[in-house]
Amino acid sequence: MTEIQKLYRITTGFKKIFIALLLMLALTSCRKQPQIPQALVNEPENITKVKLTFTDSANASSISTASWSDADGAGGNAPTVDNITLSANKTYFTTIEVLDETKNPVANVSDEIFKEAEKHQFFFTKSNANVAITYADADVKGNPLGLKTKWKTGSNSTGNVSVILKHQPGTKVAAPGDINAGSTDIDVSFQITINN
Amino acid sequence: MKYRLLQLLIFVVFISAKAQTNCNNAFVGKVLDSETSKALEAIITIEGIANAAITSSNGSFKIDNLCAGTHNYIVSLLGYETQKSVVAIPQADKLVIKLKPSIQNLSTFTKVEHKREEMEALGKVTLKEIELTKAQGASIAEGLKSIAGVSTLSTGNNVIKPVIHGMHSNRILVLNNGIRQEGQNWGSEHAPEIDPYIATNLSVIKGANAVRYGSDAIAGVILVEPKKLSEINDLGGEVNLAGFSNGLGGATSTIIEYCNKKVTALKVRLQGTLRELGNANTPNYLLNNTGAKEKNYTAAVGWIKENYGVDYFTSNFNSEIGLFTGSHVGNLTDLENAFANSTPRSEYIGKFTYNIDRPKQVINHNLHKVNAYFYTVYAGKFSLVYANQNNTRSEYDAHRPRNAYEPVKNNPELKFSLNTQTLDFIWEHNPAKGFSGSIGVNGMMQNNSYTGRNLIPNFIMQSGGLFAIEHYVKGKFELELGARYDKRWMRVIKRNKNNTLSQPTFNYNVPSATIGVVYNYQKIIIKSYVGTAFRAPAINELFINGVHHGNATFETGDENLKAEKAYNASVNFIYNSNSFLNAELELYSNYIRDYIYLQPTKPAVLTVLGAFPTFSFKQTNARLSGLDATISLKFLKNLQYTIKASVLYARNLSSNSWIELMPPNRLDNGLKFNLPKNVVLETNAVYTMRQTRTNTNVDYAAAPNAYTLFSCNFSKTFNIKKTKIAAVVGCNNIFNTVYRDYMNSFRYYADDLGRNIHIKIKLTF
Repeated sequence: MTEIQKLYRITTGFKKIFIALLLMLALTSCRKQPQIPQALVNEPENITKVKLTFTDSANASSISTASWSDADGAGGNAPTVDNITLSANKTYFTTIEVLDETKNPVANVSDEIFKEAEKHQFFFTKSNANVAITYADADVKGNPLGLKTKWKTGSNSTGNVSVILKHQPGTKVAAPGDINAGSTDIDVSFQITINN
Repeated sequence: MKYRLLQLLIFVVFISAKAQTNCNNAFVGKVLDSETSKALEAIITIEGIANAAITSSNGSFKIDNLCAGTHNYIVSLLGYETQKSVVAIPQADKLVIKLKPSIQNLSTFTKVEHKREEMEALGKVTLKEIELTKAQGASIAEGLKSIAGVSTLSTGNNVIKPVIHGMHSNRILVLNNGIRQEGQNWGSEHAPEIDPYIATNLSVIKGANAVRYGSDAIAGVILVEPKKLSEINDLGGEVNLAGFSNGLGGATSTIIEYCNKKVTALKVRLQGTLRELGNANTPNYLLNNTGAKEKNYTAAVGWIKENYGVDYFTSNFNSEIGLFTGSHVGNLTDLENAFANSTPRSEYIGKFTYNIDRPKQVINHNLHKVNAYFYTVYAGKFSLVYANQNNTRSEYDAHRPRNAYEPVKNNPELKFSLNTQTLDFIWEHNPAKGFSGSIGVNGMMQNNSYTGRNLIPNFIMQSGGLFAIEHYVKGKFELELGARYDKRWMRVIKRNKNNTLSQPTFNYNVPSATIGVVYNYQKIIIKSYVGTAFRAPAINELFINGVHHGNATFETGDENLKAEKAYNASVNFIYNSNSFLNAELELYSNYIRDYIYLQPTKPAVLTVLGAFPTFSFKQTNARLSGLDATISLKFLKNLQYTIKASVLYARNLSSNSWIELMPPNRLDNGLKFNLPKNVVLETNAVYTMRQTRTNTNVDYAAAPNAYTLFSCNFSKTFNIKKTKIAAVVGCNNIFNTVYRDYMNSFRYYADDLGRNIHIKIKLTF
């Protein structure tokens, strides 16, 4: 057998391998369509609403609410924020609801926060508003949580209140707590008006 | 090395021949080219006796201790027809052997082919073995840092990406055993998923002159090459051990290779690596959750004949990487608090463990590759390479989701799966009259999907490329011309904010071309390249839309981005005297039209976590220019001083401002002592300047101050029987200097690593 004949045999042998490899690619290349992404409901927790409910301590039927709401999550449409309007010189029992409305049914995140109370604490910072906010609930260790609070209003004023939820696994401390510990889960700001 | 073996062989033969009588005759002669009468360095063997000689540079040879009588001898040289003849010993006259250049002879010819180094891109810089050991047990990028012009971009101590001339991620191609590594390489916190222990060669091709490897490589190409299967001739292997004081961890890697003497075509290699490190130390405190675990293996089997071969290679890379707990920030306030503290909060530091907690990354990358090739007499070498790689990246947030039900509670918040298939067909034509070159086709198909948080969409991408490179050598000149053309089609399926689907399709045509000229004049080499390369926008640049938790920004992509066009020019001056002075200077300028970058935009995005500064992907014209210089002085026979300097200016030409996050100027001073008994001592002082080329009010924290880091390495190589042992003992950051690296995003939260003593042992058998 000449060198050329040898080579020819090698070449034909190899042609088969080449074709096999090409087929391998062809078989796997049929799908021309990317996989359809999961529906947004399958995403991890996505807080879309923080709702404050104020109940007048002197009149249980006098209830008002104020919501911070961003239905489409971060980005997209800007969040809508209600103003808080409270009467002067009164005490309100306030509850905070935290919701993920992208889930079906709507996920109540505040329940989860309550379950993990010893890892969470709400903080309230205010500017120019005559309102004193005190904790009305606590975790198993007796440290403040903040899902329930008492808001004691003073004279007429207008300002801002920020509601901040800190995730503090292992770092939560006794009252009044440490706003700088842990990482932020919620940081929303409301305009507040106190009038007669 | 081969000479040594030969000397040994001759010595052995000499010993065995000594016993015979009248065997003190010499066979002397000269080998010349039959056409040009040029002296040749050929191999002369005597049949029936294991005796051989190689001619010296003037063509003459001498084989001693031959017994009287007639001997058959064979003279061979790659590229020449083998000559067999008879000589009567003792000789009457010195013999002159004339060898005929061979063109037709297949067997001789293919030997030439095998010997011929694969055509390499001009300007390829390969790491020396000692520098390669720096990468081992650490990361590929760490090792490459010793090349002037290469720096790193890190996210903490475990995620380190290489940067070439200020560019990284999608602007660099990484070739793992010849296959384009495809991970989620768009992210700055996504490091190349490659085990440094598989590399026997780690090289960088700087600049846009690597058309051979694919589009997008506007900054350069990194080549990670394992030992060639064809080099396996016996049972052999390697055991590597490495220990590190910082993180109290280590790595071990074993390679076993086998080739049976009876079935020489069959070559097998297995390799495995284990690596584990605990929490790392800065000079003053320990960083919680900064450990790493790695389990990797590769296997290769090949049927390698002279004229054809097939081989299969598979690699599997698994790593779990902890991210410093204090680096998780919920929002801008958290980030600003972190800057305000010179030391991270006490709960984030001081606890040593090997356990890795959230936040973390778990990465798997596996590759299957089949390579087939054959040589033909007239046409050259043809090869076909198919590869299938799967990259899975899971990212875990600092906290488990509160509302998830138990079975999914430990799931990652973000998981990407990327499948890439590539097919390359390459024809390397026979070298003739100074010309060598290749033509090739590349095909690629990619499918990306995610689960968890919506950050980048699912997509399928198909691309095809065609390239041709021709290399011409004549005398002192070398010329390289290369061109490629790529077409890319991509279909995206994304979830819109209102849960509906949209399916945009993208088409990109990306041409690249390069011209390189090399001029060798005695001790001076001048290399010059001009190249152009296009890069299609990456998926994140088009579609990212969300909070980037690492740096508390809201990033938005732009579907209408065009491809980047880079025009690269560089010139290298190399002076090699080998005795006293060796120097290399590289000047480069990279003009990039439609350079894609993140620009701060207003307004800030208001989220439930507060306001985030917005950064949008925009395009501008940019120029990245600079110089890399290396000067080596051999003061004494055993003492060498090397200084390397890198300077880079990166300008946004449209807005006449600086481009952020570019490596600062760096000066690397090294002293190398060659001590007796194969001991080498190397000390280095690397001075990194403060990055002053930044814009005001863009970064959260000012660029860190300048710092100098000292390191040293003692290495010794010796043999115990047939085992070659290389041992290195060294220390990085000897003086426990407190510093923060501008190119490490964790500089916002903590100091960089402190002293790290390492011991590395490599046994080759």
